[in-house]
Amino acid sequence: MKNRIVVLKKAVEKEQIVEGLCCIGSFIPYLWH
Amino acid sequence: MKLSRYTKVYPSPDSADSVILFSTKRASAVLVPKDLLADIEAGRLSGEEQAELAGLGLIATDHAAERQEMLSYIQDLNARDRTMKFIVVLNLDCNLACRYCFEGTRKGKKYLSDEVAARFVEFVRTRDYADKDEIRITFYGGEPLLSVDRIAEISGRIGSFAEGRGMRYRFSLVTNGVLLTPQAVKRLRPLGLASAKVTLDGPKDVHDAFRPFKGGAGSFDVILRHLGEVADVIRIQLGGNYTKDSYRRFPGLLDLLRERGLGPDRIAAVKFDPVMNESSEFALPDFRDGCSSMDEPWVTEASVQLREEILKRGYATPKTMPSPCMMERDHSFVMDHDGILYKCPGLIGRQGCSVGDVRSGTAPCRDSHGLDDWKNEECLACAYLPLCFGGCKYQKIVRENSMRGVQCQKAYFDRVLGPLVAQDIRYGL
Repeated sequence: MKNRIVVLKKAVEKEQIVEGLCCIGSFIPYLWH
Repeated sequence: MKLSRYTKVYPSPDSADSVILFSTKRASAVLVPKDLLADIEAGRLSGEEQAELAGLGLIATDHAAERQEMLSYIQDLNARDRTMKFIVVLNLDCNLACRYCFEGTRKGKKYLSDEVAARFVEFVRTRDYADKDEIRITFYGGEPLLSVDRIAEISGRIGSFAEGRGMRYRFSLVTNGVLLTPQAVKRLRPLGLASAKVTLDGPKDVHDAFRPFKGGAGSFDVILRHLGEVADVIRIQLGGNYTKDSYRRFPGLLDLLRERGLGPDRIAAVKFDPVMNESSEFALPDFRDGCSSMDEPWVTEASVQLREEILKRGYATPKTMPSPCMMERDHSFVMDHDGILYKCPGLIGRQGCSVGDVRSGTAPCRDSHGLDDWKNEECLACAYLPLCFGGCKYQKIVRENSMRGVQCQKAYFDRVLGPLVAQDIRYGL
């Protein structure tokens, strides 16, 4: 069967997530860096 | 196999027969025909399709296993974290008088003393570095560059310690940019200065109204000049804080930056955020123009529109992905000018919110800060859990004077996540 999936965005690895600091909806506006 | 609980299904803008699947857990997205959704449940995927969707986190073996995965998600992230992070509030003084400053009435001529600086260095030196290869400090204020000598002193000592342990040391500044001169950068760069987050609140007239010097003069021109002078030496991240009345002016700022040679090649990332109203305990008495909740409709419109304006001009901005609150990090602390330790800068000075101090050490805070309060069936079944983990404790305490319980963001994500994912796909984030 033909693969019907078109990948639009690759998955992020947990190591990338570890680098994040504040959530997109849960942020202190003044802190993001 | 089943569709993951943390997969959102959105219509495709290009085809009525297809849908976009987005994983809030892995930030992956695919375009698939609608009938593939039924094939997942019926076990009719090809082996190749099944492996691909599973690898992207879009399908799961069963929900019980996935539930367990989420319960240990933060623990797993902490185990992978190889960086020890500190935010140091060097002072609560400032050369600007921003109308909305969230530190508000906490501000004053309060500076880190020699004793607190020495205790902090000792606190850093005595952490457990068994699985760490980097120490990172964010110098914060007030205005951190009013304490440039202290930055140099602390960085020199911690840099030497890190080097002796075979670790990397670097630091960043959250600065208003007024003192971010080439001379300051030249002095601090060899000590580990890697980046600075600077704030512009719109084009000159808007910025100067919101972020004047204490004497009343505008600060826009001097900040812009310094950005032009240092943007090739350190990584510059640009933030901006908007209100319901000012956000429509921010695209004008982006155009101006490009005209002045501060395009995407010189500004590492841009992100604008709404000004949140502070609690009455600390709020500046003359300012109530911020938002009290992310549920205010204009916040949705502004956040999506401004992100589009940033992306279409080629600037980088954070992608939509799980990004747990710094409070969840085991190896992350905020220290104020008195040596009191917190898990978030928004908690500074709030009664009962500290987690210890650099003299006597730290105490557990998962219970007092309600960090496990999202571990309930409603949150675990929510597709937005990996983007939320119970919401923002700072917003919770501002609104409810308590960190216990969750700050549900479902309504907010219902409105914004689809458009944000569409932007991520369109701009290749």
